[in-house]
Amino acid sequence: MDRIRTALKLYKDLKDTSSTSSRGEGTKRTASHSVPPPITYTRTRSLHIPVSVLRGHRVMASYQKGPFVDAYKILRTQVTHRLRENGWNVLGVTSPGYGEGKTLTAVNLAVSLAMETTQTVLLVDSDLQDPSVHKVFGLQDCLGLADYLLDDQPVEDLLLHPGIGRFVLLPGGRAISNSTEILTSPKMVALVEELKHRYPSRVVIFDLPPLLHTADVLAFAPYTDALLMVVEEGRTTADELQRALGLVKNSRPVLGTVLNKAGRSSLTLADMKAMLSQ
Amino acid sequence: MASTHIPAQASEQAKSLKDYVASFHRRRKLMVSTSVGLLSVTLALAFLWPPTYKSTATILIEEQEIPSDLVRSTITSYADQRIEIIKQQVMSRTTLWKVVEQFNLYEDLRRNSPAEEIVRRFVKDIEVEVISADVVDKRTQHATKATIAFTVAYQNRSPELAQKVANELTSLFLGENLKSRERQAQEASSFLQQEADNLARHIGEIDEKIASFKQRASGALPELTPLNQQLMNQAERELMDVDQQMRSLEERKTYLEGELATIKPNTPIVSVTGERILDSADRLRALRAEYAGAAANLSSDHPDIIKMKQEMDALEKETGQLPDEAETIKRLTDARAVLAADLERLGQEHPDIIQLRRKVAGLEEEVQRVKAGPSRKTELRPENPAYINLQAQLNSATASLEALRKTRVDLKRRLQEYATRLERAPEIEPEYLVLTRDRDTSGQKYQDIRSRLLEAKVSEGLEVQRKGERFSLIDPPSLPEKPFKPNRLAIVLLGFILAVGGGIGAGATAESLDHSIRTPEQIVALTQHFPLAVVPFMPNEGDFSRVRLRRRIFQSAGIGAVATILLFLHVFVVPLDVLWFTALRRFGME
Repeated sequence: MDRIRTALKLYKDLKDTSSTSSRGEGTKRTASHSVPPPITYTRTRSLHIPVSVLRGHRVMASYQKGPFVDAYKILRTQVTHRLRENGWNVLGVTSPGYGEGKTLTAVNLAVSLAMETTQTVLLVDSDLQDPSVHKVFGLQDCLGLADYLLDDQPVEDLLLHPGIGRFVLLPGGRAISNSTEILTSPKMVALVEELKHRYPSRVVIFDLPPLLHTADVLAFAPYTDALLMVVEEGRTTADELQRALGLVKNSRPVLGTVLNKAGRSSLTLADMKAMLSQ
Repeated sequence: MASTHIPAQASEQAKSLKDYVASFHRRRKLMVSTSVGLLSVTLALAFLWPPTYKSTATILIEEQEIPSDLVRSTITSYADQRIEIIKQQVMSRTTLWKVVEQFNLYEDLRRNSPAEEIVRRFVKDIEVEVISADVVDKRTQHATKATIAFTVAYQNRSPELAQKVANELTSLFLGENLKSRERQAQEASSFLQQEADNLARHIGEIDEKIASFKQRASGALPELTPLNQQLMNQAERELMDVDQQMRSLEERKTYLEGELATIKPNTPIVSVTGERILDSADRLRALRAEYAGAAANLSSDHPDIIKMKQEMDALEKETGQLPDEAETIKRLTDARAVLAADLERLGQEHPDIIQLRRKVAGLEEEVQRVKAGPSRKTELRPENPAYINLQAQLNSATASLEALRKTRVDLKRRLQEYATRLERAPEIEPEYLVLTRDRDTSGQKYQDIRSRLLEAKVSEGLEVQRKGERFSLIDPPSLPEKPFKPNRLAIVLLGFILAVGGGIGAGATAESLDHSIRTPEQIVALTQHFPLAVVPFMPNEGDFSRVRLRRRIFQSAGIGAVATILLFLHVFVVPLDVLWFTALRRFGME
């Protein structure tokens, strides 16, 4: 728990100083002015998501406290810190294999980032083979990235605001098979460029497919600033992690890893009950 | 834990207790299920394994009743060796097969297995164990192991059958022992008998040979050499003796003859007038002399001459003495000498001469007559006692001499014979020695074998009368009450150990096969960076209810399975109360 405590401390320190170091290049605003006025999404569709749905999909925003929330806050801090250090704002979230928690990590990271008042976050579901981010918010099939890329739906119509801070979501839309080609199409590249530069304090997070099973990540990685590797405890093997890291080593920097689902195997029914009551 | 491709780090090398606990926690399901599985299998094994009963007989090897110093048995092999031999005899295929058929053993097996297989199985179920004790050897004073008893055991599913078969096997062992001992003893004595007979025949042959040899050797046997020598010496001495005697007898004879010559056989009889009365022979001689003179003077027809002639004839008849030729010739010679002397002196014509001539002529005639006549000699019986005495002595001397002469010849011959024998002895000695030596050795051997035969006969008696070393059944096979196999308690205990070990082993194996990332330290080892965050697993309601549901399903399934098994057991196999008491008994907790 020491780890978490130090991480929390670090997080607080960062919070205090983040405004000064952020967007240093562009605007010359002071810390007191760094808090942007609350945005009201006029064009973006706002959704009201019930807490039960969020809880059902383990979205951190539905919890008040606890190690789960703290872990994402630590992650947020670490990520922001690193992004700002390098002046990056496009982050791809991937993992070596399927089902290791990419989407959940991407969503929760985005949510926790969005909970910071200074931060705007755009989460793009770029796992076009199996788009699933919208499901986390309890949405049925909806239009998304695929529709933009293939059917020229305007992006503005596609964006969603799930009602959490400055969090905007671009769903994946329908599932398509030739996702790799679509992801590297000029349209997509242009979109990424646009998203990247539209808002200066925005962090764009791409939820990517698994690294070792599709070529999507390898193809798309150059358009991101950095990758976040999700590792599932007790599932991802050292070998897989190593191969995954080796694959992207030369294309994009890896911001770091997230050890997901820690302590799952030793979780008892009573522990679960306790955690659920938080 | 998962191995890493980067050189091991301190955190990897030293696994703390916490890690172990975490591993255990992680694998608890696998471990528990493995343990429960193994335990239930062993428990089932412990309870369902059919019991095997074993019936054992103890047979004591008793020493022979009569001290072995007095009667020694011909059976000298060691007890355990004998037991082994008997075991082989008893466990022959035919014997065992008979027992199998008699008791109808291994019914299921016999349906589709060859006889060999069944006999092998039977042999496997039979146990023969030797019981030995530490004893001190009387002769060597060394501590040794002596076999004092042995056990024969048989195991079977059915206690009754186990007892019956054990009984049968025991009696087979005892019977076989008696038979073999008797047979052995009889074989020994019959063999010795045969040998003795052979030797006796051989000795008879040799005896015959020796007899014929002796006959051929006729006293020249080397063993008789001293006797022959002695006899020869004796004969020589006797010869010398005889020679001596002969010489003295010779001398005596000469002497007696001399003596006899001086004594007239007839004693002159003197008449009253003092005139000597001549006996017939003297009278005849005198008459003859007178006749010769008278015949010269007188003619033959002269009455004197005739008278003389008649008287002479009568006397001759009486004495049987014919005119002695020698005497007549003597007288003739005498007459001729007188004639020759007187002829010179008196001349031819002298009457004396003429007379003499006539006398000579008459004598010549006489000689002619005597010569022509039968030389009949009439012995005059001597009547002089001295003469008779002498003559008798002479006669006896002569006879003795004659006898001695004969004896001497005989002695000479004997001497010669003895000498010959002595000479021949060395010549025949080798052959004779060979024969006698053969006889001696055969004789000794015969004696030896005879004595042994007697011993063997005694020993045979010992065995036949069952007085020798024997097997006595001190503990007949009893009806086994408790199964000897399986040791259920041991199986259960082993099952527990196996279950625990198997569970731990399964956990350890799973853990070692699992290369997944478990701790942030592993990520550090792989990436040189601590993970940005360690996100704990957050269960949602679905997880919670799933786990709870699963747990409930498992619980109820377990209870249901146990209940079903018990129910089945109760209904179809054995009522539970019975099973409970059986279990108690099987574990010896009654």
